[in-house]
Amino acid sequence: MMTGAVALYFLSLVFSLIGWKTRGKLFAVIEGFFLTAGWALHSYLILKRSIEAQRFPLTDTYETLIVFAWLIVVLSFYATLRLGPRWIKSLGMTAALCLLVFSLFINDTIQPLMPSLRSGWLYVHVGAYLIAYASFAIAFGLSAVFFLTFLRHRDKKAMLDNLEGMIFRVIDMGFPLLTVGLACGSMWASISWGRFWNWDAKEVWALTTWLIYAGCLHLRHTQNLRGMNAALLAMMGFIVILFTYIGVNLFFPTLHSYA
Amino acid sequence: MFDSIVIKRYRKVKPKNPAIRIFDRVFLSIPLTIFLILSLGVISIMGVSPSFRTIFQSRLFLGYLCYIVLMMGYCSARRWPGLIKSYCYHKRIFPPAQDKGPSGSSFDPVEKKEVFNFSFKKENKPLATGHIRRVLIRQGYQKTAYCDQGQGEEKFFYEKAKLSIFGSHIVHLAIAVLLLAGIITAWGGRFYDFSIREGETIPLEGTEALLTLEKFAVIPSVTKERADGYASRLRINHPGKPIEWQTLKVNRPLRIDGVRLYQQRFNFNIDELRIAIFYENKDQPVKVLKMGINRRVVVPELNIALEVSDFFPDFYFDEKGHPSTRSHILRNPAGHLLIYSPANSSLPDQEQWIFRGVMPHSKSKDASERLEFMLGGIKSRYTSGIKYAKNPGEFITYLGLILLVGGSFLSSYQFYRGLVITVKEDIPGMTSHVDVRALKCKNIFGFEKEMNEMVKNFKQRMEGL
Repeated sequence: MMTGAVALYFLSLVFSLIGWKTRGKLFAVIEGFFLTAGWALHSYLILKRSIEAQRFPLTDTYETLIVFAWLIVVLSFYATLRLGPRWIKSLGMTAALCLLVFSLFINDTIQPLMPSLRSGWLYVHVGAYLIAYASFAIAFGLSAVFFLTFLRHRDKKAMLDNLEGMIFRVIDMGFPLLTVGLACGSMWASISWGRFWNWDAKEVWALTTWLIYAGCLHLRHTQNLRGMNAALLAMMGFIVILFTYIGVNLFFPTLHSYA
Repeated sequence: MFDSIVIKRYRKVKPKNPAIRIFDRVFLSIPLTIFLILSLGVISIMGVSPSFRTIFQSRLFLGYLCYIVLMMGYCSARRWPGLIKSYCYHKRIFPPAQDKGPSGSSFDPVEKKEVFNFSFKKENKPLATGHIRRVLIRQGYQKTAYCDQGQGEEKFFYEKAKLSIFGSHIVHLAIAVLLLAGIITAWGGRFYDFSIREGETIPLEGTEALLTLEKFAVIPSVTKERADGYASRLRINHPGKPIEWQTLKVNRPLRIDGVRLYQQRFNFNIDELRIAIFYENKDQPVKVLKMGINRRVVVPELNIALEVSDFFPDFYFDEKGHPSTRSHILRNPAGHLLIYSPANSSLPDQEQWIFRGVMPHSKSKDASERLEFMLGGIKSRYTSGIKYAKNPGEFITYLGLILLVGGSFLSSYQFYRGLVITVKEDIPGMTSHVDVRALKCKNIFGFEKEMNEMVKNFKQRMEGL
């Protein structure tokens, strides 16, 4: 079934590209149809898994990947509505597609929940992180567009300024949720493991991510961080996020090994 | 006049006091701050490796954290008074605008961008200002200052989300509070894991209480493959006080006299295994032995010795075909039995897995001596793994985390916006002119969108005036 959602998203992306090239309205309608169908199927699969597992699916890599992809699609819709350009939706869809393709190669068996994960903190901590990560994924896409535009049309200052404004608006949207994720994780660790901070690999990398985005916003507002440097910092932040999310579990022994 | 009082912000000025100047150089150095934060990142990443893990307990690291806390604390102490002053300032001067501004500070004009410019007949002035006021109020702005400059010129100051000026400073303060909490925890905190067996009593460190584990219970999952939860029933005996009973569960810590206990893990110990020996096809056992693990027991009448070398509470064959256990729940207990025949031989003659209520076929060559073994009763006791935590920095940490979340929401979801509306006469007695200018805003993108919408509204309402 997930393959079906991937296929629908892919078709939507193809028609979005054709529509962008040909500027045909019909393609935009077809793109919208496939996107809605893909998103509906994706939502149904998350709902189905929630019913089967009798909990919201946020406990292992497979579950977080599919929810992460779903959130990227939702937030890219929201960003399109708030910021304007229709291509933001396509950016989000590309990111979601990559995550869903990756999820197809991961074990999707529903595992019983460990006793320490049976807590309401799980949903606040992981949920806040995933929304923040989804925002930063969109910021990464916007930064990549900025990067390419900067290389090809350095003279289009208004367009670049507009893109830059969008990047920071999206980062601004995700940063407080990243803070909520970090703070709730710390509170949960205190309740479950007895310490707020264990210097665990995942914790340290999560803090590094937070510091990068905090630094990014701080430099933007105090030192007037702009242009290419701002876009590169936003891109670097998301690469560190990917490492924190997937890489840490592969390279370091961690208390978060179930994730 | 109005400009020089209200729409100004503080500029960094060198303090006159030489002591403050020295402190500023030591604690407010930007290159030093960047170096310290970057090195903190490098140390944290290094500390993830087990060989460098002790770095976080070293006095040098704590001293380093102390210095950062001092820097951040000093920075907050220097900034907050001015910040509070600028937050309260506009309210104080409204109306009338006669204040001369905070004393002892010099000011810089803030960048002001023209948003809207419109001329109208002089008699329509109340209508025009009314329209502008209504549009601004609908957008969430509040008039915070007014100044009649004379000669038909009036200025209004409208602001929105003013509280957000504290956002980044609250985050800054929160980091200092969290680091301070970390230092207090490292110096005065005590954390360790201990195990307590069912029926055992131990004194609880740092308190006068005696702790007894009366019972440990495992709640298996529906499939019984894993534990859904587990809990320790504890008896807490304070001398001279009535005995208390408390249940310690995962994610539900207990607080006893300032000490917190956390349910972490569990294990169980086999106190006694009963092994029944049968002759083949006989219902009654020849002998029932009480055994332990890795304890050799001789059966003289049969001239054999038995030893249970391994025990699995939930026996199964893993993916590689090796015997293993699925869980710590006594679901399918099995013992690995070594049979020495004759009893004094050094190497076992046979070995087999024995189960509860299941009689395996013996591999003895001689049919007349064919013996079968079965696992009978199992006497076991659970051991509860509990974490002891005494953290004097706990409440400071909670305060820091709350400040961190609040500050980041305030700085990222709220953006201070200020507008200066100037109404003045163009041609005396004939036409007037309104000019709307915006102060610099962190969220330029959102502000421009809002301004475009407002200008559209202004134009619609003021048409024909």
